[in-house]
Amino acid sequence: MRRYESIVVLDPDLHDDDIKAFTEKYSQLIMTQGGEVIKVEDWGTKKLAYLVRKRDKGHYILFDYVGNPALIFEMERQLKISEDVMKYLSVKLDDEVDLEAFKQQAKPQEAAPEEAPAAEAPAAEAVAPVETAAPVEAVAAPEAEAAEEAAPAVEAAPAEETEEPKAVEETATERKESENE
Amino acid sequence: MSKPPKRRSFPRSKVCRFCADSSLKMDYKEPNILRIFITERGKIIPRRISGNCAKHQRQLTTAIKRARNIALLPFTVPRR
Repeated sequence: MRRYESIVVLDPDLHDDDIKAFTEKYSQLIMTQGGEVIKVEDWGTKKLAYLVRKRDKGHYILFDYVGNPALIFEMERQLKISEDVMKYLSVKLDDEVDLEAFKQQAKPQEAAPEEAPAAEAPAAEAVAPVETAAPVEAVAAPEAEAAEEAAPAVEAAPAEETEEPKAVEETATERKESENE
Repeated sequence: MSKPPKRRSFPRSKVCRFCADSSLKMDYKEPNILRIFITERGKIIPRRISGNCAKHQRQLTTAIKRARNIALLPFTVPRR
């Protein structure tokens, strides 16, 4: 089993329901192929660095999961077919991940949902070390990664805020277009 | 020993920023950190100027190229 990460850039005009259905669909796909979803992050609508399909915005979604190479194959095949997907990128984070170890980590994750994902990363890289090493890492990890934890949270908030003005902008541009006609 | 006077003297950091600051995370998902290491036109700043060590420069290059691929960073910034 390997650990992968896929970033998908979706059409920014999609409804929230469509985006929810999309994440659901691919989470299901990962599960049915014998993988395990570690986390799904919705970054919201962001401005693109360059135009993609004549659009300057995109909706970013990050999948972090464990699976076999066959899963990635199927995943990318379906992403290619999908019309809503503007861009995607899959990165292999780790070879040889023990699925059971992740399932065990998933349990404390429920107790401390904020710290668990941060603690996971160093633990995943060092699967070999003995269990006793884990608490030491866990103590060190939140300190180092607390700042990183805060960063995505800050990013997420403005993204949500921008959604409303964006809707206004769109109507504005639509008006302009109609005026031009 | 004082430095011999040279004509070309531009500011240059001699320490790799990723080695010096462990909290500085190199990740293609963090375009704002990567942005420090590209020029205004979107080019990757060479090692001799940024002062990065070879290892981190290599990692940085892949990170920037990945970020470009998913439109988090520009390939080029066209002149106005």
